[in-house]
Amino acid sequence: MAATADAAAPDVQLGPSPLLEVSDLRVTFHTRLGTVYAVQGINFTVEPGRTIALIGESGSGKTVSARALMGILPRSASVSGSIKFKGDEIVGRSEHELRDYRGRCVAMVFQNPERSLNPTMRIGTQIAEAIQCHLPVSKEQAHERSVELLRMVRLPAPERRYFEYPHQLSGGMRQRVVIAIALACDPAVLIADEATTALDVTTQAQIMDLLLDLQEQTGTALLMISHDLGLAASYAEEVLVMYAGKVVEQAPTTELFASVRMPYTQALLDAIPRIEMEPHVILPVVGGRPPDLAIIPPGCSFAPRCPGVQQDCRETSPPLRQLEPGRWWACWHPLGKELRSDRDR
Amino acid sequence: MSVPAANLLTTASTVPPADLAGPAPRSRGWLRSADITIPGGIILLLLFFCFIWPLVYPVPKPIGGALRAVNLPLFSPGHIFGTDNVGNDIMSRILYGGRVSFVVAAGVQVIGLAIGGLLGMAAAYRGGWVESLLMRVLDVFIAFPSLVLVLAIADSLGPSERNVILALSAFSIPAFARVARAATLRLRDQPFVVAARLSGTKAWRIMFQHLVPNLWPQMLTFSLLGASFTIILEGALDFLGYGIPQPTASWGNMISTGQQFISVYPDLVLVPSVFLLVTAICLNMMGDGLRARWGER
Amino acid sequence: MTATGEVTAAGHDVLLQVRNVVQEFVLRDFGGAKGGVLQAVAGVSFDLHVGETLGIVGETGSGKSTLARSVIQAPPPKHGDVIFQGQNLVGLSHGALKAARRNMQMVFQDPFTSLDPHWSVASLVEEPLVAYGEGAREQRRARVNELLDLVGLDPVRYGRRHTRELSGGQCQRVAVARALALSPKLILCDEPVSSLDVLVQAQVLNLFEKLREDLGLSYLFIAHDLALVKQVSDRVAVMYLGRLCEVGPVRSLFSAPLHPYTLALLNSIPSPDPAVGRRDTASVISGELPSPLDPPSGCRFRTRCPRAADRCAAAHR
Repeated sequence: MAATADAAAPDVQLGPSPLLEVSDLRVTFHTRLGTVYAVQGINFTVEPGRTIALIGESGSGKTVSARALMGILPRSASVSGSIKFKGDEIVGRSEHELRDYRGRCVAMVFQNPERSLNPTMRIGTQIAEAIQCHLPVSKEQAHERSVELLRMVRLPAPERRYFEYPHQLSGGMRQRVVIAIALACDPAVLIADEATTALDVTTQAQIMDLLLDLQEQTGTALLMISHDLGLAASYAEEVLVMYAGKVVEQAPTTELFASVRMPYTQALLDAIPRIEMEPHVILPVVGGRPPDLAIIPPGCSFAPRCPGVQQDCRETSPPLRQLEPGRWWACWHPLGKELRSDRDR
Repeated sequence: MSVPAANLLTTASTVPPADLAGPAPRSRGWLRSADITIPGGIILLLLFFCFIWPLVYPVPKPIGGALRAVNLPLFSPGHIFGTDNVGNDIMSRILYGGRVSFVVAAGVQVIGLAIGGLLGMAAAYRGGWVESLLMRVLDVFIAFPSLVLVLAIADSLGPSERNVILALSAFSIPAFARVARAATLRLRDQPFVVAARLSGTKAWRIMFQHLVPNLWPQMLTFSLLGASFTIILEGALDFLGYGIPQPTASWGNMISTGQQFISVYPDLVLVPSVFLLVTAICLNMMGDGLRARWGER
Repeated sequence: MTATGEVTAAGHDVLLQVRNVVQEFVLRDFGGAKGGVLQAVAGVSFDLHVGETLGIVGETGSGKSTLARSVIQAPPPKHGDVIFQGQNLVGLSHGALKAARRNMQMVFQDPFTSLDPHWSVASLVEEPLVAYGEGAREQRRARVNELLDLVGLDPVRYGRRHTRELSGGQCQRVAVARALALSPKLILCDEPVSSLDVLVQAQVLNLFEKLREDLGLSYLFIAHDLALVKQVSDRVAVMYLGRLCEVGPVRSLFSAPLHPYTLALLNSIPSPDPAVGRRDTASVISGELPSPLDPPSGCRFRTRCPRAADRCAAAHR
């Protein structure tokens, strides 16, 4: 999967042309308390049918990036760089043009189904509304399509559910409805912004399976935004790790977990309690907190916390470079194969 | 990649100081925002003129006017707002009347806040039959049309400034009690209150040291909004003859006596009405502005 | 499935005995009429030993948080007994309960709402000391500094701050410091790390471990994350719809789960090892959580269990 790197040689597109091309995306918020550099130049592409995970903690910029892709950032945000959907530039488009783009080309599933659904409207009507917004169909056709979508998301008794209200459904069912709304107009890209975070682990598994099955059926590309590396490992083909507004590592999933390069990614992996581990083990942990996004430090953003930090890390910020085929990382002193044997234990 | 034990509990001490300071407390900002300072400034100006100005500047007396100077129009020499039907200078009646109106408004709000607010908070915190009893009693008060209730009390007490305050409090106490109760119910089950109970803190301490600091912004904005309503209500009382007796001025009774002459000498009503309006708007704006600001947190 | 009086490495003594605790909530319809009774905890019994960490794991609607609140009597359970250090807490007078609570404290899920935003860190940690009249002002201050050091917060730097100036992890440390103020024997932790980021979560978990070792604390640790629970516990109890499905020593529960729900939970966890890949969908449980207002008769899990048989609908074991 190709991604534009800083020193770009012309990419040879082997597969289908990318749906989304993000190039040097920067998002800055101008608030009363000062400027916040939420996203500091990220690049990636999304190709048809692929599943990509964008992983990061809070404050990493992953949600802001997702919202930038949808064009739903607040007024206080200034967006620069380029987001191209099938070659058309999204950044700088007017609200009117974006309304066409959202839902039709790129759709989003949010974290909290309670907040994404209107509690005073029947769920079927909400889906039909989404359809009629973009496609010139009659009410009856929209109704039919809504029921079909409810069936597609495996909601039992879809004809009856059409007339129910959100509060009559459980959390997992509501999220299915949200997915149905998102898929209503056959978008090419589906963004799942922490879509399963608020759900139980059993429901999460069901929803993720549903998303992947739907993806196979419809050919939609799936961009998962999450803090959960485990989720990425199980469901994504490619993982991008974000920290302090930048992408710090990018690799196909199996390769990433087999040999991590960026110390931050390694810290994330180490910090997750695993079922395989023995109880009462002290987790290897890095101290400190994520940096203040109001300041862009001269060196690597992770330097204050990195266990392997060196002088040059504090002075110059490492760019994201492709140093192995298909793998990018932004680190002057990445973790290499020679250290792997220590970490295996 | 094992991490030395010292890192186990590493806190932000390993992070450069820029990361440690959180955002500045936002409550400082409210003093600088226009939607609060401008109306606030106007109110302060009015208060200054009503309370302080007559002490330093020889303002004509508000009562005992000369009959030869009856019903002078606006901007007459020596009487910037003219005179009323018995020759009193309207400007000084506005100033002295303003004192009365502000004192009544403040008095009613303070009584409502202190008694009603406390009752509502305590009842909601205790819950159980105490709360139910209180709410039923308050319901009785609220069920009465406010004006009728206030009139009944004013009538039985007799017309005077103090009695007006008491009568209007019969209205403000239940209002504050309801607001305090609703706000306390929301706070009562918040984890930090539960945590305080589990820490063994006594109930009165919880109420005054945990609940009150979290409640008072809301109560303050409610009282600001209520203050302007109180002035108007006091005016209505005067209009009906139950309020401040003549010849003492208050904005309300100026409007009520001037009402008879409205077709001939409209300024008798207009001038105090304008002041009343400006005050009400400014208090409302301040209340709204503060509510918006504190709601943020 | 009953609780086994397991001998742990920490000792035999039973610190807490929970017997048949039932907690109900009456639901009011619009207008105040009684709309139904929600049995959030429907008869739970277990033991907790000195120095032991008992993990309680369950999903939404399992009643685990309600169970914790019932143990600490906030509010007291409708039925059942909670015997802490030999004394039944249910029905105790206000004064006696306060005395008992010295030894049992709680840490809540959301660090920001469990600390009063108007109070400084030092006052928050000092509050239990003030409430129990522990020593004079100087002694209390010294103890507060000691506690803040214990949780890894520099008292000089953080004592005067308020929660809005702190991160989630730091706030949670303050909450832990407050819980430790009276040197309790048992700490109930209601999802204490669920709202924290991964790296901060690990820091706070390590803190719990260190305190456990240094101070000999016992924990009742509630979480929805199985891997997390395994990390911190000696024994684990799995809850579903108000009842315990399975209780056992941590290793054997995870390596050889006996209850189908435990198995389903284990299979639903996405593993950070791509080799494992997507879990076998068939063993992921089907269907939706039944309404807690009208739970299935007999075994409550039978409506979703791949192994349900007729007798599962009969009386609960």
